[in-house]
Amino acid sequence: MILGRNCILLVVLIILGFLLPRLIPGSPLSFSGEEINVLNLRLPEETFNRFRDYYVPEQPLVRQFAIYMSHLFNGDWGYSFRYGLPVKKIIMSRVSLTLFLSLTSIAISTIIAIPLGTFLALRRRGRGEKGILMLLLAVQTIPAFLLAIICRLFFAYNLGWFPAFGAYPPGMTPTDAGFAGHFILHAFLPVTVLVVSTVPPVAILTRNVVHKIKREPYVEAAYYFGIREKTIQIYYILLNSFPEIMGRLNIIFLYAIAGALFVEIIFSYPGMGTLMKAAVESRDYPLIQGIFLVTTIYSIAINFVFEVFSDKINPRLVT
Amino acid sequence: MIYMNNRKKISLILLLIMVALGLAYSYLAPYNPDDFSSPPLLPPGGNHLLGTNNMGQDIFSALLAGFRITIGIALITSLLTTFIGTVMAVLSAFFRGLVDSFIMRLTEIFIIVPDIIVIMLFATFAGPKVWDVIVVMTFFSWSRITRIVRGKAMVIISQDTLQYTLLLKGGLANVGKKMWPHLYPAVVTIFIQQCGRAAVYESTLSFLGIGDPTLKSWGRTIKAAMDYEGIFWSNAYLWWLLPPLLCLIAFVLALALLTFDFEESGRPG
Repeated sequence: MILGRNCILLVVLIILGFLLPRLIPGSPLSFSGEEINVLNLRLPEETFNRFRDYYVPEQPLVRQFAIYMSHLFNGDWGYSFRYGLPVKKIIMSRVSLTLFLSLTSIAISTIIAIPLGTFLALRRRGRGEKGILMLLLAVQTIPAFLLAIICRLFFAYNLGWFPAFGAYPPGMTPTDAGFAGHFILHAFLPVTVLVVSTVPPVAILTRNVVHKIKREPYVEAAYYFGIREKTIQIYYILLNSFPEIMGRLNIIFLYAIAGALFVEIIFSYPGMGTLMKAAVESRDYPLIQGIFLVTTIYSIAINFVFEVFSDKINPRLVT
Repeated sequence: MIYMNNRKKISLILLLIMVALGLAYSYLAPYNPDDFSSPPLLPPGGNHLLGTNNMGQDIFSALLAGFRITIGIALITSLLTTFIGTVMAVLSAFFRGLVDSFIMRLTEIFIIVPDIIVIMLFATFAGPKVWDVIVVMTFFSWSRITRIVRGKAMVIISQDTLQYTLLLKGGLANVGKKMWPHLYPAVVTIFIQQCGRAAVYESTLSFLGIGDPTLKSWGRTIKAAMDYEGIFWSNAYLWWLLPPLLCLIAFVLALALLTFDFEESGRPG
């Protein structure tokens, strides 16, 4: 059921990814002879003709789509205009860094935020709790890209503690000695920014859900019966909060993926975000399409995992 | 009028001041922010409260322009987004069945696609007009609101008054009219929250170089400062980068504080 829904979603999004670049005006694939075209000015005649043979822009859309799909099923994602390399190869060389950034930050922020939110909800109301909440709220309002700029300003430029751009020193390969250290050092600021911007929404969500469950009649009844505080907190409140937290967490994490793309651009971290920027700037259609496809699949995967997971642990929520 | 504590009063006053600054911008600004006749890179003082940028434009005037442009764009976008989102939610709750599941699937698509990618696409290929930016932002924001309001609308429509209206074959207009009094507190809150999101959204887009380059929004000023090579090598960032940054944060934070309730056990939806 969940799988089916996500598959339909995937199909719709593939169609969307195919249509979007073709619907927006100014397309390099319109190729009508009259139009002044970015590509036929920039590319050598021979290369241009080869691209035209590959993308057959003069055919009707449906036919183009059929060709696109058959390429896709054969694992052929087309050739980048800008780099002249197979799109798949370019993306594969970049995607691991984006996966690393987003998954690391999602993991770290979950580990921090869920206990924090729970703690805030379970504690008796006091100044401390309110203060932390206000702080979270304040941090939440700062957009990730501003946070990235500020971090880069203070820690990379003013203090010089961390490198300001890249994923590793130029010219270094993963086999060199000390690569891991440099890699972590380079990833530290981007991951920190992502964690700082993901923790507040998750913590506030957790706090709100736990707080709501805490005031359910059955919890109050449990207190009334004099059941041990720890038992109530763990078995009555926490276990019942998890399904709802899980159910709403996936949206926050989907935003975290988009956030990772932004943060990459600011730190010039060579992942999908920076690749996207380069692709858009040079109007590299096949590459844009490939990136769209990969990030979409990634998002659907995250969504799917969460849906299955919250379905498993939540017998009440039958949809 | 709803009861307001001090925190909310202060936020509201701050917001009103900011809107007033935006409205009075053309009287307050000492220079035209596009005028590049002053000497470049002046430190603050004298005729230029916040100095000038590398093009010789007055930064203080650009900052003031931001009050009008950023807040204006945020208000318009939020209004459109909230309107479309609410209408979709009411449609969903009224027709149920196929219409409902269609709208829900649609919102799912919008939530799953990383908006940045499609926006970068749109922005590069479509014109850099401010209206295009507003349309794009609206296009990618309504689905969130629909999901929140739909939950509320579903509850409201099951109440007795609405059920009687349905029983008497009340049309969409009747039901909508009857629902509105119950719906509007939530919608107002969402509208305010959406203003903040839109302001952040707009500055993010400006920062990526998307949007009308002649409009001096805060995001645009931030981008100009960041694009200047030597911004961190001197103190220039203190009066060029930080003021628009702080204004933006103050605006968004005031909006957030205005709507956040500590007592409330959960956000709507």
